[in-house]
Amino acid sequence: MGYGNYSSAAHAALTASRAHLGGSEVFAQRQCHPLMSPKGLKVRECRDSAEHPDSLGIVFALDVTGSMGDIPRLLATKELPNFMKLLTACGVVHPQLMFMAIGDANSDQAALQVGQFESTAELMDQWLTWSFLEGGGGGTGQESYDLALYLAAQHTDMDNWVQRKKKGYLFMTGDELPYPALSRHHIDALIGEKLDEDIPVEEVVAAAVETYHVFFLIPDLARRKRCEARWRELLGNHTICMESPADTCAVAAAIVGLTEKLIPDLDALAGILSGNGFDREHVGSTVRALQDYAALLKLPQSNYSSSAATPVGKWWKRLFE
Amino acid sequence: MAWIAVSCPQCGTPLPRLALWRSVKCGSCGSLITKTDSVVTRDSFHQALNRARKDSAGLDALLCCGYRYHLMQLLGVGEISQVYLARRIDSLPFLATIKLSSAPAASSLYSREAQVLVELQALDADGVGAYFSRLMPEVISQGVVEGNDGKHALVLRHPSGFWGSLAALNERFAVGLDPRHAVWIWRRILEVLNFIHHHGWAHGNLRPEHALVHPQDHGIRLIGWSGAKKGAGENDKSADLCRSARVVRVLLCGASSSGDLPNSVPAGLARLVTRTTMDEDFCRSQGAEGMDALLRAEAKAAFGPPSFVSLTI
Repeated sequence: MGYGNYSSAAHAALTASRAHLGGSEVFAQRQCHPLMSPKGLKVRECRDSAEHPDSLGIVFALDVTGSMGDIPRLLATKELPNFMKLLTACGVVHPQLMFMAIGDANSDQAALQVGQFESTAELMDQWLTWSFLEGGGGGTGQESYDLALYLAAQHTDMDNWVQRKKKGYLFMTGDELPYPALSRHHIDALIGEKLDEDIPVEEVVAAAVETYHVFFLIPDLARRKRCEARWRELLGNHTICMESPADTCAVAAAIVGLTEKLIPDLDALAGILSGNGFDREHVGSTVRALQDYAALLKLPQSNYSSSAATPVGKWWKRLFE
Repeated sequence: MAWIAVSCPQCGTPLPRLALWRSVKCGSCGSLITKTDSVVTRDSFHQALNRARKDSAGLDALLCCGYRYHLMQLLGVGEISQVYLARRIDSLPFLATIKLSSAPAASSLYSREAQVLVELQALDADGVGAYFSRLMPEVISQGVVEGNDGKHALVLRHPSGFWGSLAALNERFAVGLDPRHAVWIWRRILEVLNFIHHHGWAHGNLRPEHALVHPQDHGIRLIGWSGAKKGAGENDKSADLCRSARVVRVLLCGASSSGDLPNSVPAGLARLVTRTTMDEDFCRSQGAEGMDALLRAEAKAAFGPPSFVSLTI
């Protein structure tokens, strides 16, 4: 997979043509599309080609439970062309996108749906809109994000890694906690693969991180309280709290640009976003969401001003005694 | 019923029934036996975690509450603590601010501060709590540092982009800070005080060392919450306001001053600062919100409509 060229104009026209449609019209699947079923899945490939000699695998694993349907809809009706446009503006010329849809393996019919790595607007759009937005979730406060991590670790093969030891990107969106362990029963039922035992989620993360830059994007500040702390334990500063789901694409593209060192800092990022038509509010919220991650990339050059916490002998000390 | 005898294909030794569904090691010849070729073993994932942790094994690390942290930079030194920028050693890094005790009294204060911060983070008020939760420190853990002579640590999420404390800013602008910057700094402090006072809390120990400045975003983060009081009375709240004005006075005067406000401070602003510094009844009657309204009015009279003035350090 991954052949064909990307056309920004074609992609923008495709999404604009359905901007007025309701979510159920854009996402017409009422069950898992047979081609997105992970049953029997061996490997999803992201390959170099004559047209794309420097491919870079990027996976979006979208939470499609009840509370998270807005991000797939935004991607399909507006934002995905912006993501590609920003990647191009940053200098990422051969991205290949794959979509996964994540639900709750304990309660949903289609807890894991998997597309293919693609380079063209039509095929990216196809896999995105073939996703079944089940809108489920078990009400336990946990979703099966571990399935996406496992699939990325175990069932993808990317030339950017194999040929160039350059990691791909895995962006998970969500607002719930992960299950503490990947269940071998779920893997058997969904993929048809045997695990010798359940795998703690920390270990699944560690395996995925060997070939991917893994990020968890929380859609807004109100929803961060219920899941951020746990994700921060697992992914550290790769847990990104956005201010609005509408920032998903800008944040993801910016992460790729910053990590690949194609964007030197957040000031440059703000310039790129403004130059590509993002309004001031959108630019500000994107930059704020990325401050912690950008700080991590800037290490060890911290410009924090060290000082004695209680300066001695200052005239003003008496004011606070 | 079909009977199955599970034995090692290498040496024929009987295997435990676990071998029917998971990998086992033969007790006799030591071979790793898996049921089919397609079984994925947990061990390969476990090894990935081990590799991630091994990558940082050579670093000096501090072990607290089950996590290892590499201390990267000394950020400040206080009477009972040293404050460090640290990086958690794990599959994916995490930046933390660690307060490391240098006196026995620190442990109870850390415990108290952690408890206060958890409660403050849980506050909500028609959704605005999510906004304020970003302005306050976030506790990751607190406890004894293992193998370090009983030292305690308070681990906080590191707030990126902050330059230093207002005490450091005062040193930097030793002849007095531009009053326009003092205005936004005071307004940010009042904003947080208004929120916590509304929920019955008082900071209790507001001082220049207990506020961090983010020059780029014009942000202020209050720290040093161990003295915070829940169920605070009007006196506690007015004391917070009074001390906030003292912090602003310190900034306006500068470190090298004798304590008199410089002539560059507009008269109206100088009067407001001076009165708030000394008159707790005035603070009580205004509250944080009223104080902010007065400050906005004085700032508008002196500098015109609000505009962003870059703080270059």
